[in-house]
Amino acid sequence: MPYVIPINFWEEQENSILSKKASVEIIGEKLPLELPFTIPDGFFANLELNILAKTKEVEMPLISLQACLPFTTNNYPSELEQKILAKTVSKTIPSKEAKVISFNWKAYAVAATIAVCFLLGWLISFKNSSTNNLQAGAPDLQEVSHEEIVNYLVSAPITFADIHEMANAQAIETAIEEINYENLDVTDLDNLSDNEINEFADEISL
Amino acid sequence: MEEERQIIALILNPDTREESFKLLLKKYQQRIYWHIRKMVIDHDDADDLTQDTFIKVWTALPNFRGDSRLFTWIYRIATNECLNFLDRKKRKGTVPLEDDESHLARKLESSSYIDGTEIQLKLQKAILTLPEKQRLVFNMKYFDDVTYEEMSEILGTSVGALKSSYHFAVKKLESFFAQQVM
Repeated sequence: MPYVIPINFWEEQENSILSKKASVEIIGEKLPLELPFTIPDGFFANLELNILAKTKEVEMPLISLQACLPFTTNNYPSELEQKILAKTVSKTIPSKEAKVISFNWKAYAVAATIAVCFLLGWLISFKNSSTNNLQAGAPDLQEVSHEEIVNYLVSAPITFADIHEMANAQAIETAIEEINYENLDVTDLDNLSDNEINEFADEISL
Repeated sequence: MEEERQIIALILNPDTREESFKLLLKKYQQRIYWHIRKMVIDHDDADDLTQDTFIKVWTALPNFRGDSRLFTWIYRIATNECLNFLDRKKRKGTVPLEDDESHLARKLESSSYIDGTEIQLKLQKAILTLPEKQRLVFNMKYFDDVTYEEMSEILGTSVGALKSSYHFAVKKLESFFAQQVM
């Protein structure tokens, strides 16, 4: 067909039809397209004059201000720009290089890891050494005879609790277990008085 | 459109700027006035705002790039003037915040430049119950027959959102009239 239509014709048609449909009726009520507003006579003619007069007022203040100031030259705005540029060029402040502080996360992480390892190692070795010291300080009870142990316990001004602290409790228990009660000379105990036995019992009581 | 192009060409020429502005006033002042009047209701307020709009157009004319149509550009300035005016009224305390609608409805009843039928006044009261932006959309669509694409340029809102806004505005008016009947 040799006919053409404007661009967006169908869209505008649709909008126009829909808008007309909406404008005609709401709940069966035909709504008006006219406004209930009025204006004074000759308003728009006066409006145009008022606006044109105000556009002159907008331009006037700038001109009148320039006329009032006795300190400016005719070419002041353009001269001012050149003056400012000249002053800024002559007074350039050399820029200082800013300190760059880089925070190398990896290095700090490695250092922290090493420090933690050292700390753990020290703690472990401290613990071991303290137990070793206890062991080192304690006499090797297996080499000491049972009579010597008893004499020591009786004569030394220490309690059994002190010995337990100094010696390995396990070693004492072992030694005690190894005491051959069958071979123990009970007659030695008969030579001790009741008071002495009681004192001894008090001392070893924990 | 062709006429608008001619006006723009005249505006960009400093020698013909004033003449082109007069043409512009003749062409658009009534549309802009009624657009503003529908929002602020009062004639004196609309008069002031229309003048302010065209002063801003005059001041900004040399910087008009022609990215949009001249009319949508002027319409946008007028719309912003209306919204700023209504906002200033609220902030100054001359209008209680919750009572913006009833304040304008009172102007509808008391202003000397109001004269219409009962149904016309009823419709205006119904439109005043809408939120400001929705009122704008309804007025522009219903009374001014502005297309959604032009409205989108003026208000900076998508066409879909504008259609939705208009649809909800009509629904609210329906419920307003239904309550009036009851």
